[in-house]
Amino acid sequence: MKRVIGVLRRLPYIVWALLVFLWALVLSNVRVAWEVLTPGLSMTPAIVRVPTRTRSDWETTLLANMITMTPGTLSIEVDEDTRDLYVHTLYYEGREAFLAEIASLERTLLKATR
Amino acid sequence: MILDLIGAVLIGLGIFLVLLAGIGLLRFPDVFIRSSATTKAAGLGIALVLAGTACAIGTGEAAVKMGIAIVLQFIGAPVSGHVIARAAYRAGTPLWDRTTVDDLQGFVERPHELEAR
Repeated sequence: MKRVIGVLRRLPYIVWALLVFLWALVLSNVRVAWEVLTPGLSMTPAIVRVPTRTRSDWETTLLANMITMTPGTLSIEVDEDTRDLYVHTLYYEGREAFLAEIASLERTLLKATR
Repeated sequence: MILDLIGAVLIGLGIFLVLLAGIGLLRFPDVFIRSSATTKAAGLGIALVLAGTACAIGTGEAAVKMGIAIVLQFIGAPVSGHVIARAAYRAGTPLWDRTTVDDLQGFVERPHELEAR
C-alpha cells in the first residue's frame, strides 16, 4: 500500500520524465537525420566520465538508457563501485556544459524514481 | 479509413528513419558513432512502424500487443547499443581520429589499439 501511494505521489514526475524522454528521442533522431543528409561530418566526439547520484542498479540502468536515447550520447561503460558512467558524445563542447546537460536529465529521472 | 491513413504515414516515417540509420551506418567513421546513431533511429523508427501497424489493424488487441512491443523496444535498443560499444572498446576498436577526449583510457584494459583504417 505504501508503495502504491509512493507511485501515485510521483506520478506527475513519472509522466514528465516519460515526456522528456520521448522529446529527447525525437530530437536525437532529427539530429542524426541532419548529420546523415548533409555532406561532411560536423562531429567532435568524446568519451567523458560522468559522476552520478544514482543509488541502485535500477536507477543507474534507467539513467544509462535515458542517456543513450538522448541526442548524440551513448553510455559505454559503468564504474560499478562509484556508479559513474562513461558516456560517448558526438558533440562535445567542454566538460562543464556536458556534465550540466546530463545532470539535468538525472534530476528529471530521480524525481520520478524517488 | 482515417486509421489506415495514419497507420500508413507512421509506417512510412518509421521506414524512412531506419533507412537514414542505414545510410549513417555506412557514412559514419567509427563503431561508437555508428552505434550511437543507429540505436536512436532503431528505437524511434521501429516504434513508429509498430504504432502504424496497430493503427492499420485497428483493434484494441493489436494496440495492446504493439504497445508492449514498443516498450520492450525502448528498453532493448539502448541496451544493445551500449553492449556493442562496450565490447568494441574492450576489443581495442580504434576511435575516430577527431575524438577529443577519452576518459575511458586506463579504466578498462584494452589490447594494443587496432590499426585505424
